Amino acid sequence: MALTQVLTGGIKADAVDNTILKLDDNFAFTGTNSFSGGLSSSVGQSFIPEFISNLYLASNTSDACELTSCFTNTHQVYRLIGQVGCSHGNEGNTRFTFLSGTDTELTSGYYGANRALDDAQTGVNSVEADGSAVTININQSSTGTSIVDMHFYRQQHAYQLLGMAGYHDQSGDRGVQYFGFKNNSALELTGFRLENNHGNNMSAVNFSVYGYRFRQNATTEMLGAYQ
Amino acid sequence: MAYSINKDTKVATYNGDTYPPTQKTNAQTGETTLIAKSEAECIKIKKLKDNAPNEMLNALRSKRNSLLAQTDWMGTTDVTMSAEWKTYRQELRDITKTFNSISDKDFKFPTKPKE
Repeated sequence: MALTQVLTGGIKADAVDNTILKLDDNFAFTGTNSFSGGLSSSVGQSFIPEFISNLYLASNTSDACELTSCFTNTHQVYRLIGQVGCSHGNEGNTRFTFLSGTDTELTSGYYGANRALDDAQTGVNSVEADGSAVTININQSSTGTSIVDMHFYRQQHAYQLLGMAGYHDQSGDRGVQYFGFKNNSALELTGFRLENNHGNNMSAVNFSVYGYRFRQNATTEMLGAYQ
Repeated sequence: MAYSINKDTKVATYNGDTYPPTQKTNAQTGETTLIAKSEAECIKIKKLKDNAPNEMLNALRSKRNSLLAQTDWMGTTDVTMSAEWKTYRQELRDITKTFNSISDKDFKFPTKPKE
């Protein structure tokens, strides 16, 4: 359909009853809408992620980085996705811990398992029972970053982190890793920290956090106000 | 135990070793700041560094063990293991005599014999 250009001069005083287009103001119409019903917000009605923030760490500048104040009551489920470097000096793992309150690191209470397998058929299984951190990528070579994709379910007393990572180890083997961890902390978690397990500077980190407004029924709703 | 912080660079020094600041980004404001490591954090990182050789050796052992496990069935009483497979498995067991990490120069797992 062809577009019709409406000249400003023609609509400036285009009064229909008490409706007028006022170009001098920040709104277009005055008066009353005559249609029935109204527009309803779609926020929270669908499982669409909302971008929250990015965490970027330039390669070989620090052994640790933190993203604070990214977990709030607005969102109940989070997707954390991006490139995560490990040790810039040699092959290593990345430790993930939560932050609470005034960015205090939560260094206990991590329970879960890690399972990895690469194309050389070498595999690593590991578990943590009341561990000090979650290992979100393993055996990542010093020269690259791995892709990590995980979901965080922000339910107080039953926080859960489920994710996967692709990695490329120092001897050239490539693999995939799955992990699932739970922490029953009573603290309100507000952010997270990534650090190298060898205490070395990390390769580059470029990580994004998205939030979902997740609604369940009244008796099983997750922590946080639904909006 | 000497601990100090360079106020300009935020680099901490503990017992002669330097520790870069932690990069902290606030998701609400987008502001990124460098936070100097506390003495306790320096001690923690020192432990991670000291334990790194053990971690890397354990990672090598885990991978080696998974390769050994794949051929354990050849050691059952109703199977005769060929000399090639015996050599391969022995080389796997001995690999930690030569290498401490798969990051070591020229590291390579032994080649599997043809089945």
